[in-house]
Amino acid sequence: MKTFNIVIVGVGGQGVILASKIISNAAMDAGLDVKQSEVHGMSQRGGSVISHVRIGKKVYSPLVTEGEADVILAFEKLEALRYSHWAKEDGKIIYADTKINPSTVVAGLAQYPDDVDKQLSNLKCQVIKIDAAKLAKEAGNVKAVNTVLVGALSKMLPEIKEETWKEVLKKSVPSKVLEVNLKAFDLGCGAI
Amino acid sequence: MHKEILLGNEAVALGLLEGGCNVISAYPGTPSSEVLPYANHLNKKFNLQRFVEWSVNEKSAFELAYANAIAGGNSAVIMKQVGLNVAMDPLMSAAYIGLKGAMVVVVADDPGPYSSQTEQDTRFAAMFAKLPVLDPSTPQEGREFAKKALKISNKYEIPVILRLTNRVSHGKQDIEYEEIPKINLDIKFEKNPQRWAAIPRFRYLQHIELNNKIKKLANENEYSLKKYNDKNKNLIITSGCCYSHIIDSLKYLNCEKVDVLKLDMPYPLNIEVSDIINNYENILIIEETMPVIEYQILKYRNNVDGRLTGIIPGEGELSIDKIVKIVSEYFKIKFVQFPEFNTKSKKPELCPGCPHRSSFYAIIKAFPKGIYPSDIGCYTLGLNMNAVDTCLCMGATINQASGFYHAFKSQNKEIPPIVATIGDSTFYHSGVTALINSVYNKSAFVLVVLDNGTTAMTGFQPTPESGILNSGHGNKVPLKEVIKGCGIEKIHVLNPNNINEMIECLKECWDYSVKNEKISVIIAKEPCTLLKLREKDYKFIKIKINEDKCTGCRVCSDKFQCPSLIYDEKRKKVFIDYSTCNGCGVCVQVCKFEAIEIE
Repeated sequence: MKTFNIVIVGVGGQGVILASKIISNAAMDAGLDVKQSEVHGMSQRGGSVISHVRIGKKVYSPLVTEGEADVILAFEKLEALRYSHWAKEDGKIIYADTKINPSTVVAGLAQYPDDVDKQLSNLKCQVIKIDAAKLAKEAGNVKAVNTVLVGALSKMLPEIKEETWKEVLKKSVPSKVLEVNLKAFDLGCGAI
Repeated sequence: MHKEILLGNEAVALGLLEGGCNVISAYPGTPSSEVLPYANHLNKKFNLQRFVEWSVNEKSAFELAYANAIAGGNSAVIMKQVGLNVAMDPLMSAAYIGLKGAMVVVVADDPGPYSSQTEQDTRFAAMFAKLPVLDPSTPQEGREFAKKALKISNKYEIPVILRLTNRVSHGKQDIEYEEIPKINLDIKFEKNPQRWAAIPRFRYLQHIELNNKIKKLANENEYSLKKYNDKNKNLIITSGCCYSHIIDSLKYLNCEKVDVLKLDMPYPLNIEVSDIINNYENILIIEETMPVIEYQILKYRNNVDGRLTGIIPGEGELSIDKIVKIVSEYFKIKFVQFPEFNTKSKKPELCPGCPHRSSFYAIIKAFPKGIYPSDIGCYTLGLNMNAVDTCLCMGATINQASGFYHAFKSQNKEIPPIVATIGDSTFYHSGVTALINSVYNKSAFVLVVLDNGTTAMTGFQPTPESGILNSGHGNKVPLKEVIKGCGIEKIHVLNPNNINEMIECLKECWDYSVKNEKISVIIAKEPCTLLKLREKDYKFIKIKINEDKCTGCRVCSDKFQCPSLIYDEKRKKVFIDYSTCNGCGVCVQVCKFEAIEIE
């Protein structure tokens, strides 16, 4: 397997780090080499959060190079645009149709661009928009957006079987929300 | 055999316990904070009976761990790079005096920086203290080097520094491990005042000894040379996380004409490196973030390149794209330039429902023309609200407030209201001595202790006031009594979410302080919202906007700055983002048109 580079972006509090954990564990359980890198600390308070996951036969650095991501998994629209140049020309951007205002917008210093979808669709790489909030709600909890997106991503990684993903989900989320998350995962798979 | 994806910090914790540490202490700080909790987790999981402590600050953590090493125990102390500044005093002396058991000083650096005040390089601090330093490149190496550091420390009877960087600390990989064995150490204190309490004359002799140890260590240093081709004349020298980036960069460039020399121990430099470098014509030293290897290489050869010759940038993290660009230009390897982008990240902000927001809002309302020194923690984000004017280092806000007061007073200038803010954990860390100093020296200002009952920014470590230990319950150190003991006579404890009460109290305190030339203290006591949300009986207050009353004045969205209150440009009204609202209900008090209502 050629090294597969994933960049996961979102806003602090959206569950980017948990999603990365699920992806890494699924890859490990599928017998692949994984390196992951994430940023903790201040940015977790509502700032941009980026996590890198690299999967392959042998991986050295935990960092993905700009322009080298096979998939960008974005939990928020503007974050998808912000990090869009990390995608390969033949890569994919999967993004949630979710909008969270940056503090500059909150403070009235800037406006949230209203053509984010258009700017994204003008990119060379393939762009896939998912109404993750709607699917998460359908699964039973608005907060399961991250699992919907992980479901969508799983379709890009045929090396990892569906059972492996679900086993990892069982170990990663509290039992009382497991059903919701398994459903969210399936709905995410179906969105691709 | 158990296999698990571990964070670099967790892998280091595993290594420390496998290496036989019986005492582990730390003060939290990004990117080091996860080492101690994982050590605590493993300690309980395998019933190891080791002592694991969250200390009040890094100096305390160091001194405690060091005493254990003097008594023949194996110690680890963990902190972030700027935390080492706080522990530098005992570190410098411990290098001279040495120890009996073993001690590893785990310090996590933050090139970037992502969550720190500086990009300082702990390898440089190691060189300054004359202590050996190991620099792992992956989580697995972090685990191995932790054990190796303990061995070296025991053999040479000196502390050894294990330097991590954010990419190792917060990198993850799969790690295999078995049950950690129990230990039985021979703890005894052998009296030897000439060593353990050495006076300057003996310190001179200890310095000679330390120099000899470092010399010996330079002879058994470890390095690995990745050779691509026996005829190669190009070499990169590196250590730590940069190694992984360099290997991937060379792969990316499809380049096999450059060899890579990786130093596990960047200081002291192994003597054999002097021979290796003579086999190469072009040498580039890539290291993060200061020229530690480069300075040492200059002893053997001066035609090398790196940070000192301007090839490597003097600041910022060395990402793969930077390394690819530098390596390709330096060794003349063709590649297609990466496109350049100017991306600004979304700035962090106080969470919806954060009680600090209420405190800051009250402060700017009470004293629109005040000076607001502040400190290190979540609440530094009060700067978005223009309620934080300074942030220097842990505990500095109190002495800075004092300094501003004396600056104006000494020149008979009108003294503007001075309101200093500090978090509860930061206050215990280094605010107490600052408060004693300011009381003693007759300063006058209002100090607001933002008491949310935890160390929120780094992951909710307990504070001395809670009395909660890793092992259960300890003793509570009550905040109000400590402040009283520092000589403060006017202390108010209130809930900052009652904004008007807080505004009145601030005004009254400042009047008192100016009139009496004394410091007054407000303890703004309200738990961190993220912790409250975890409680079963958390009461979510659902609010709504009465659009007939909303004038679009934007006070709630722009001044109070709750991320869940969003101004809609088109409709000129504010709406509530229920996906982020934590239901604190405080915003109801902020709208003077009563447009924010409880549903």
